[in-house]
Amino acid sequence: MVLYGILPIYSNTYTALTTIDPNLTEAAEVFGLTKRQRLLRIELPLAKDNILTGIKTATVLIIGTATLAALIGAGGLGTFILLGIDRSNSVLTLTGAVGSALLAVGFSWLITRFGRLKAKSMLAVGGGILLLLLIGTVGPKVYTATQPEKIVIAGKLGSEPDILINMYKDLIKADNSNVAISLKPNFGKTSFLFSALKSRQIDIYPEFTGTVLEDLIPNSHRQLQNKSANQIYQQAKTELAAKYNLRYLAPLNYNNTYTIVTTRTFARQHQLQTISDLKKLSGRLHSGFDLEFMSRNDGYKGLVKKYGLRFRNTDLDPDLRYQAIRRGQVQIIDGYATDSQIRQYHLVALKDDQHLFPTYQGAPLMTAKFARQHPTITKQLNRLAGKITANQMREMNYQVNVKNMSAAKVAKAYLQHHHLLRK
Amino acid sequence: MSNSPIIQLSNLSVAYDHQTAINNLSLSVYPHEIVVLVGESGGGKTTILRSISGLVTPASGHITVNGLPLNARNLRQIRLNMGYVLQQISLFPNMTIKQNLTLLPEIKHQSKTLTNQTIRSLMAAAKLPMDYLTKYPNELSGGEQQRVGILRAFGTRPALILMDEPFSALDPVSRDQLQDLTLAIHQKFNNTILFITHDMNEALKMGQRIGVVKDGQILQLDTPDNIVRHPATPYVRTLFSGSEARKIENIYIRRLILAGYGQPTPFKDLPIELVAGDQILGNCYHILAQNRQLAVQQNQKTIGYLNGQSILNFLAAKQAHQSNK
Repeated sequence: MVLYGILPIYSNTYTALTTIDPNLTEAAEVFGLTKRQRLLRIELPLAKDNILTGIKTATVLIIGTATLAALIGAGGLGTFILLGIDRSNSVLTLTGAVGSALLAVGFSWLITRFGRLKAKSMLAVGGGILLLLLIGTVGPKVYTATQPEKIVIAGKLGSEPDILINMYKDLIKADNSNVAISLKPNFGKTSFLFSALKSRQIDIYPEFTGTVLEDLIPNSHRQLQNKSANQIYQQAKTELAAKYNLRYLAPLNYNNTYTIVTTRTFARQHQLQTISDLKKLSGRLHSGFDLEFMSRNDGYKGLVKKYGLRFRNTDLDPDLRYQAIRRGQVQIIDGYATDSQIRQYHLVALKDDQHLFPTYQGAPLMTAKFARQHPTITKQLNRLAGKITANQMREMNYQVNVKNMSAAKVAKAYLQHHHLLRK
Repeated sequence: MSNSPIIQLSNLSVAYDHQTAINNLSLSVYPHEIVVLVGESGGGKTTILRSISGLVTPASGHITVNGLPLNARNLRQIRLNMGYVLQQISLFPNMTIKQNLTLLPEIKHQSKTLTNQTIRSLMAAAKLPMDYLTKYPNELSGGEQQRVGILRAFGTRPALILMDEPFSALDPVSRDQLQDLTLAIHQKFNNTILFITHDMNEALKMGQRIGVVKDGQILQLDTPDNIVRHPATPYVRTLFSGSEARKIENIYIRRLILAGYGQPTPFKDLPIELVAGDQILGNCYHILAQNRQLAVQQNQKTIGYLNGQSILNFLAAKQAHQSNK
């Protein structure tokens, strides 16, 4: 990002310094000004406005780009935007967008003000900012170097991983309250978390069994359909250990796989319980599947092949599907089993009676070395094995996303209620 | 002119891309005089000036300025003791007029008191109001800007001032005013001026000696009178012919130097050539209209002063004399 900002600053400075009227620089030379005097007294002051414009452009650019940093878990206002999109919460999105816009305008204003300062105060202010930056960069490194080991637990975007990592934390703390734990919720997407784990930037994150086999260790020869949840978990565990030297702990109960969702009223009206029940409406159904679902073998293609279904489909963005079905624009959408919107908008998930969708069970993933060094932690985390049903997870997501409760609170309540944690 | 020269060019040759710009040229400029180099564009006038200011490195020959040979070691020293007025004016747009005027004295570490004093008297001589000091160059007209450009060159009271076609981009009225201003300040500070122009009238008005430059050589270096009356080559003759009488008049107009620095004395005698035609009036009108005092010089000596009204009176008498014939 620093490199990104350098370009406009450099090019503007270069242009500014090279487009100064040659008569002026020649005059300064003939008047006996030294090179240094020419630069400080004539060339830099003349180029000042252009240089500042460059800095301004760079700042605005960086603030704009910085929102993307949320994708790789660097935090910032972009997290609000991504979460907002993820939760169909326009207030959050706007908070992030307006926030970064205000930040850009604010910085732009500050730089303009800075440009009006006299040369001396400009030097003082500029020096001060540089000093602060230096302290800001070096300080934390020095500080963290002197700190005891800290366990970093990260989660993907969304409320569900956030709740899970809070549970991990509570369980580890229950065993040993002296362990320092840092949570990094909304840290990024799958590939980013996976590489962060491999490079030891994070220690633990919850991953889905299906995702491991579909995205992390893809192998087209593998047949995932018609396999039991346990088979899939075992396969994922073995391959992770063999290929990446990672330890995959026991999975939770719920299966957060694709599901076919319709409204409660529509289901009652046509007596729908399983996906096979849709057969009688085939051809008359208006669906809103997202593009990824449409293209996957275990998605729309599977629905057609395995269930013999046919839909009139409108391709929808994942986050717009729920809006569309809520407004009655479509009757059928794809979703994830634990989506809180299913609860929020009074929808039902139809049973995958022909086992089309592979299993996606969440389980803590860590390096084998970490697992060896922290046997008590793996023991504590394994207490979650087989816990949390899809309904319970959906309810917790609902509490966080819709009821705006904190993930930490929801996680703790669950653990206490199910006697995994003492009150 | 008995002192040693302030500028000495000996056998100077300069070439651009193997094309000779100055060819074995020698020139001596003495303290306190105004030497004008005149000639057509491309003749090498500007190259001579650029050589003296160290912007161009000669192919051969020697340059001494103020007794110092021009080389890398002396360059800055020479430049700091030299004023420069450019055709493009080139006031620094990021500085106020005052900052423009104080920049060079500051770099020379001249005392602030002296600088302020000099600036005040220069501003007064240039008839620029003091509140101009806080303005920026782009708030001034072209003529006013070049006025400041001249003041800037005089600000460090340098012994030598180089002027590179300083007025050629200005309107005739401003040009005339600035020529007068330059002559007036020169009279006050008594420094040496090497002046470049392609305007023969300007050369005749400004120069105590005029050098005619062509093809990188000086064809003739002489007083304005001799240049006009005894041109050394046919080229010099053509350059100053056509309006010869008018040129002669200009010689004498040049000697009507703005007073203001001496006690005006009554007009006694006037060289007859001054009124050889009506053109004089034309050239002097703005001086007459403001009824300023004029000093009349002959052979470098002020022989008397006159004001606008006395010139008009004289011309009226002259006209009466002619009609009686």
